[in-house]
This record gives sequence, C-alpha cells and structure tokens, in this order.
Amino acid sequence: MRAFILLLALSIVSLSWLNSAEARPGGGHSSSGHHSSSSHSSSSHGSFSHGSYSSHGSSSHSSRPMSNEELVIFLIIVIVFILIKMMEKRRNADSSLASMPTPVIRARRQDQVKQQLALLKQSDPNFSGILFLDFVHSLYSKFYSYSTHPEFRYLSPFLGADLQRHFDRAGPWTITEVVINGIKWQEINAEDPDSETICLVIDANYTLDLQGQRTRYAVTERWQFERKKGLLSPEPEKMQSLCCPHCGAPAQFTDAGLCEHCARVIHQGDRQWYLARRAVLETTALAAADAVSYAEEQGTHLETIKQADLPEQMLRFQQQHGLSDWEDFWRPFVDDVVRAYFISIYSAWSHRDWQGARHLLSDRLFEANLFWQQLYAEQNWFNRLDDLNIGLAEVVKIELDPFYEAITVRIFASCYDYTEDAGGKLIGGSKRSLRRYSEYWTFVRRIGAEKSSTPYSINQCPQCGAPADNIGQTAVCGYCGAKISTGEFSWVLFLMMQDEAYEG
Amino acid sequence: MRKKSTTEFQTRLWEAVNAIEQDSRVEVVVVIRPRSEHYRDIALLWGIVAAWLSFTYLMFAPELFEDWLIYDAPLFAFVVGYLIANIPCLTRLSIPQARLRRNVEIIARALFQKGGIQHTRAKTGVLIYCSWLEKMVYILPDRGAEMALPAEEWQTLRAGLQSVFSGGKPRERLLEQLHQARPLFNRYLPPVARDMNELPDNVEIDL
Repeated sequence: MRAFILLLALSIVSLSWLNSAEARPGGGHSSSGHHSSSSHSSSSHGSFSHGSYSSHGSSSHSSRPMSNEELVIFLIIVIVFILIKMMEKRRNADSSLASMPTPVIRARRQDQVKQQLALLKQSDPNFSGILFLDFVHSLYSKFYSYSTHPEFRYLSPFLGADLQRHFDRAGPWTITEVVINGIKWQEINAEDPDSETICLVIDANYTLDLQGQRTRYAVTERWQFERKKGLLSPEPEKMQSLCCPHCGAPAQFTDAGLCEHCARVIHQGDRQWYLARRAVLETTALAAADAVSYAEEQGTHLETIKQADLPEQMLRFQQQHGLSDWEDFWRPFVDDVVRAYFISIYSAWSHRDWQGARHLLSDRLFEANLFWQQLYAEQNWFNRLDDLNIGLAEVVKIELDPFYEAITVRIFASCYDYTEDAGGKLIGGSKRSLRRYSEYWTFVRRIGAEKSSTPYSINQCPQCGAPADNIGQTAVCGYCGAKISTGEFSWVLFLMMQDEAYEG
Repeated sequence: MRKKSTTEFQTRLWEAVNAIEQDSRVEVVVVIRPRSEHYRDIALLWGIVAAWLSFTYLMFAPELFEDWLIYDAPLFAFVVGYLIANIPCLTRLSIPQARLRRNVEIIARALFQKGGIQHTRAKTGVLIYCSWLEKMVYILPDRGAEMALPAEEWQTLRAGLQSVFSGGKPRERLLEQLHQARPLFNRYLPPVARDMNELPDNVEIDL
C-alpha cells in the first residue's frame, strides 16, 4: 500500500510537471499521415496514438496540456482510491472478532459476582473482600517464592493435592520479586451444597533466576479457591498473612498439613480457603523498556461505572458514622484524603521516593510499585509528572464489611507525563503534550479506626502523630511501632485501577 | 449501527461458546476474520490488466486522444481494476481453491498457537476459525479433543460449520451450528465438577 501511494504521488508530481511544461513537439503523437492500420503506424514511429489525429494533417501539432479541471479529476480519483483502501483496512480491523466477553457480558458477570458475593456474605458474615485479597496476595507470593524450596511444604493446607506436587519436577530455579499488579473477581459459586469456590484472575510479574540468568515475566493466571460450605472466615489477623488457621502461628506445616506449632493437622478447605485449581493464561518475558511504554489513554472518556446501589450504601455509611449529611464526610474526605494522597503519592513516584508514600499505601500496592521504582533507579530514569492537576473526584463505590470500609473514587487529572534519564534525555512520553486521564482509586480503613478531631495530616503517623519520616518498608512507624498500612488508624490506598480496566 | 449489531452478535457468540463449555470439558474459541490474506497480487494483476487494456485501446483505437488522457486513462483503469478486484466474489473467483484453503489453514494454525489454545491441561481446546472472504470454516481441535470424538463426528461437525456459508445470514447460521454442536461435545467430553476455564477470555487474534 505504501509503495502504491508513493507511486501515485510520483505520478501526481509527473502530471504537475506535464501540466506546466509545454507539450513536446508532436506531443508524442505520430506525425504520420497514414490511415493504415495502427499496428503499422505504431511500429513505424513508436508513438502513442494514431488514427484520426493524423487525419488532420498537422504534423507539427502540440497537444493541449492538461487543464486544471482534468488535474483535479485525476487527484479526486487518487484520493477516492486511497480513502477506499483506508476504509477497507478499518473495516477489516472492525470485522475481526472472537468469542470474547463484550461489555454486556462483563457487566452481567460483575452483577453475578456481586449477587454471589452477597450470598456468600449471608452464610459467612465475617467474609471481607479486602481480607480475602490480602490472603490471595500472601499465598501467591509464597507459592512462587517457595516454589522450588523445601519451604513449599509449609503451604500444604492451602494447596490442592495436585498443586502440592506442582514444582516437583521443576528445574533448580528461584523466583523472586513477585509483584501482583491486579486481581479481578471472576466467579463466585456459593450454591454448591458441599463447597464454595471463588475464581480470580491475577495479573502479576516475577523474576525467574535460572542458572544465573534473570528474566522478568509478566503472567496472567486464573486461580480457583475452594473451601467447605458453611465456614466462617477467620479473623483479620489470620487472613492477612499465611498462618495456621487453628493457632494463628506463622505457616509451618509438614507435607501432611501438620502444624509444627500446635500439632494439629489442617486439611485443605476445612478451616480456610485453599487453591484448588490454577491455569496460566498468559506469560510474556519483559524488558526494561516495557516499563516506559506509553499508550494512548483509552478510558478517560468512558462513562463512570457506579455501584448499582450506591445511594443505599452512602446512606448506610452515614448511619454507621452518625452523619446527617453525606457532604459532611465527603468534602473533607476529598480534600484531606483523595487530593492530598493523590498529590503525595504521585510526587513520591515522580521523585523516585516511593518510601515517602509508604504510610499512605497498603502493603500490596507499595510492593507492586516498589519493584518498578527500583527498575527506574537501576536504569537511572525518572518518570516526571509535571503540572499535575486534579479535576473532578466522584464517589463510585462504597463497600462495608465487618472489618473494613472501602470507598472507590474516580479521579480525573492531567499532567505532562514523560520519562527521562538523569541527563534529561527523553526516554518516553511527552513534555509538550498534556495527558488527561482518570483512575479509580480504592481507599480502605478498618471499621472503628480512631478518628482524630484535629484536621488529618498526611505528613504524620496516624497513630502517634509523629512526623511520617521514619516509616520502615513494612510500614511500621519508627516512633510508636504501629503498623499503619492495614488501615487500622487511617485511610490507606488499597487499589489503583486504570479507567479502561475498571469493571465495578 | 454496524458496530452495535457486531457487539450484539459477539455477545450471542460468547453465550453460545459459554453454553458449550458449561456442558462439556471442551474449551472453544471462535475467531472470525474478514480474510486470511490480502491477496494484493490479485488486485495488482487486475489493475495491470485493466491498465494494459486501456493503453491498448488508446494505442489502436481510431479516435484521437490527448496526451493527458493517454497518461491518465491507464492509471485510472489500474485504479478501477484494483478496486474491482477487491469485490469479494471476484477475488474468490480469481484465486484457486487450493490457495484459499491453504491460507485459511495457515491463519487458523497461527491463531491456535498465538491464542495459546494448546495450553489446556487435557488438550481439549478447539479453534473454530471462519474466514469471510474465502467462505471457509476451519476447525482445529487439540489432541485431547480430537481423540475424544470419532472422526465421523468431526466430519459431520466440519460439514455443518462449512454450511454456514451456503445460504444467507452466515452469522446466524454459525450460532445455530454452535448450538447444534453442544450435545455432541457433551456426549463425548462430559463436564466435570468445578471445571475451570483454562484459556484467557481475551484471545489474541492480531497476527
């Protein structure tokens, strides 16, 4: 196609020249006065045209140059041709399709997940989506980091029989830097009389060290968890880390599932969820350059996805906090939490000081992005977000469970987003093109978290009020020793999702 | 409007595939593409022949033609010939059946590999690939699925799916055929409890 356009462009240039140049003497026509057969004339003179022209007898005739109208007609033909080809290309792209879930299907699936989740919560009032995701995160990290090590047996109560032997034949490799980027609820089945299952899709990446060679992989996996019907979820402390569901000691089990601490045998699904099945859907080896690939914003103009019963949940939230008006909560929340966190977190990101935002982030979110920060540091790159402006922030979802309250907000913002190296050389993005985008941020807080009467300050430890300059990587305040990333004392950012990926 | 109807069809297609998967262990992926090759050589050939014919006419016709027309007419004829060659039935008629079949098979096998359909544990992935221009359906079962159904059943299935192009409304007929295939897969690959979909929802179909 490109070659053809080039050829046409060349033709147009030639025509323009033809248009401006005088016609060649004879106009390339035959000057023959023959009325004989064309073939004869053609062979005699090697000219273009014949016949009636020569009957005029003007052997010195110059043909009329191409008029402007004719040139326009020619150009129109060319443009129409190019347009038709472009439309055809676009139509071809549009008409390629596969049996994939459409937005209608995805919305329907989300509704089903919500209904099933409600059913699950009816039978298990202790169930908390936030705690469950923490549990999944812990298991996923350990599943890979222990994979080929003897410690893998510690996971025996949390893995199905097949999965306990999953890495038996694996090579002598080690997996490190396990980072979960996103977890999506795909299916919950609480209708089976004997068991309950939860199916999730996990986007993650990890580094595989094989014979001294390190490769970073991005993976998408589907994990299906199962447990016996009618169980009550353990308390938060037993969900936030892998531990014995009976005594709460850190998970150290024999192959048979015997807790080395309390000597109880823990069978899969008896007291806690276990991974029954898993499928790797996609695996891609990553390069450092993948960290700075800039794609066009896809979802900024998409309609905001709001929880179906949002007004009811807002009312419930108000009642739970004794508020007469939603605005009494919402305005300070937007100013002191949403905007303040947004600016602080992106400032820490931009200055490659991720630790500076440690007290504002959940463990999972901190770890997930810490890896990318370290990658930027290794390459000596900076992801700049100049002129960061926050626009509208609107509440889209409120979730309340026995342990946590979660508020999801869609935040619209704009900035000049680019990556440069230490010398100021542009690696990706643009310093001149303003990037407008939106993201869905989920903030969580433990139910009953102490609410200070003084204005909230993000520069202080929410527990002791000391400056937030001595927070360790595990989010423990260096002054008071409190772990502040669990939402126990204040809001923490639990989840950041791109608008095009958010499904409600 | 067109986009809306395509989305509606895709929704129904997903439902049909989902119904098969609920009822059996097979994992079906249906991919529809407008064509399996660009066939630019055919269009170029049509364009060149048209240009040559027009040039021949200008050369030997008894009428007098002006310079610009001698220059323009073959180009114009080329464009017309090139565009006409893109009319699906003409393209199809211009290409030997063996080449059409080969191209459809190549793309089907490429989609099977790129879509990762071979990554089911029991090898029960099945790709149903429809190529609109060639009017061909290619079914590519993985080893497990292929062995689970007798060859005659596969032949019947293939014939049924190929028939979607024999009348009008091929999309509707494709959905019908998928519904008809449901009991067949159920008979030979019955579902197991808590079976999990092992293929990604969004199959990579860009080649």
